[in-house]
Amino acid sequence: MDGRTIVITSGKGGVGKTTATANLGSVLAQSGGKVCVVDADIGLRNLDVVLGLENRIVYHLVDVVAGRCRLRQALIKDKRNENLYLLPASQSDDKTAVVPEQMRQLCQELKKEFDYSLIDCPAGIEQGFRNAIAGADHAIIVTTPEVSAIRDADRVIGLLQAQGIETQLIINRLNPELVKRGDMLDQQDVIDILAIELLGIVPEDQGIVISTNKGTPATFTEEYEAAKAYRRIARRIRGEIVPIPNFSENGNVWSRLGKKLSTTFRRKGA
Amino acid sequence: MPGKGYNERLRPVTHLFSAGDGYGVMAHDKRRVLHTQQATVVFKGVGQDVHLILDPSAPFPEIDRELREHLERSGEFFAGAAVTLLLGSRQLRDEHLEALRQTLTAHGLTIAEVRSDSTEGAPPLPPLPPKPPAHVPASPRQSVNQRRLPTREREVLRDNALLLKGTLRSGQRIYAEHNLVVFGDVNPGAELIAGGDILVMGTLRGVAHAGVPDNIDAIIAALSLKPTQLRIGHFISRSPEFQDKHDSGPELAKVDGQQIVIDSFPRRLLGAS
Repeated sequence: MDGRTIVITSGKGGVGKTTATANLGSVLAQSGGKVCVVDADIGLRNLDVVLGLENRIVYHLVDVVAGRCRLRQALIKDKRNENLYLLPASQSDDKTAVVPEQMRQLCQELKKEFDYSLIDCPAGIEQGFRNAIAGADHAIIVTTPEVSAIRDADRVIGLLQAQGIETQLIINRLNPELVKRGDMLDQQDVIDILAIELLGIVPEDQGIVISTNKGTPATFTEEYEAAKAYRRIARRIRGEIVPIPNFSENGNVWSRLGKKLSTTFRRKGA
Repeated sequence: MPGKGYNERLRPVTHLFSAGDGYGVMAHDKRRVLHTQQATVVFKGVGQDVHLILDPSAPFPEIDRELREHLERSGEFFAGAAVTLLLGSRQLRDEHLEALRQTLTAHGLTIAEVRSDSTEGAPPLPPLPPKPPAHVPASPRQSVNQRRLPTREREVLRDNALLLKGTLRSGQRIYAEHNLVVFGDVNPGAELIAGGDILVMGTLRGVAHAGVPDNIDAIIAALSLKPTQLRIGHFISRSPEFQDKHDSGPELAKVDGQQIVIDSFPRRLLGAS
């Protein structure tokens, strides 16, 4: 049976696409599925660094589509995680080195061999973006709860829906303390505008910074909150129904109760 | 029919004709005016109408008799008239009213209206609504609730409307030659451009430009109006620096004087805030 091709995109740069690709890929592979993560950010590759596989790159994506090597030669198998493979990007080319049709064919090949192909999309909406989404059947939009990220995510969702690609949302780097103080948008604010299905929320976690620099995805270590969140999201991708914990509600029973009451009254009185 | 204990008294009858429009004064009755006493049955000309005033304290048989005699004497004078029957404080029974009607009909008169002071009759007319307060020019977001929408030609209201269903996302731009209706939200970064009105059945957070290029009678309405910018014709208006989170309900924007103002709708009752 053909695998699923999921592109992980955002519009805005730096919101956590590469981190999500690396972590979700790891967890899905750990649970037994054969996973290929593809770095589509040609010229500014990062996925290899985050996975700690930089020094094993011989061939890359542009070599494959140009026919200079076979797909198998370019794939790098992660020694720590035997079901996980990386197809790295080229660092010396740029986005014009690949066209959407080539990506589509590449994804067709990957589908035959892998249960999940996760494509790490570059920031922006130009050629790089168009290449990355060409072969995808699903998309995961990553956004942070910030107005600028939400604007860009909205733009991207519009473009994806116009292509008929199913979209789901991950809200990344949510800070429950800031939300509680009213200094950060909460998940409902984000969903009110983006209006797509919420796949999961990843809280702000210093563990991500640490693990990225080490080249080991955070999901290798159980303790990080972000790692737990990625694990939940991976289960949802596999079709499991996993409740999303409410990161905004802290405090004692009374404050939570008070909030519930005020919501009820507001709705009735409106 | 006289009831028990009814004591009929003979009273002099005087017929009064007022010097109203359309009625000549009969010479012989003029003399009687000088000896006026309380009349049981009075025909009075009031403007274009004829009022038939019945003395509320007189018993009905007397009323009936008086009316007949009056009409006998008047001959064809009243033929064709539609009278307004004024009962005062009298409560007229149905059969009595019918008897009066037949008497009048026999002489060519009809009853146009029956008025009485009785509480069982029609309630008094409600007082006129208070005059609307003087027009106050409004800044955006201030409610001005007493003026009507500008009158438009019927043709404009019949124009085609482009109907879109779904949320409009950042970067999407919609052109409509006439009116535009969006059934869904309009996100920031989306643009609506229409030659006529723009109606958003959802939250308008983007930019809407109605009345392109110069129809300043166009309106922009939304269930929740939170735009980044509004444009009507050649007027441009941006939202104030802080957006109150509190939902103001459905609102519409229109040009008033030299600026775009925002009004709530449906229109509130006069006098309410």
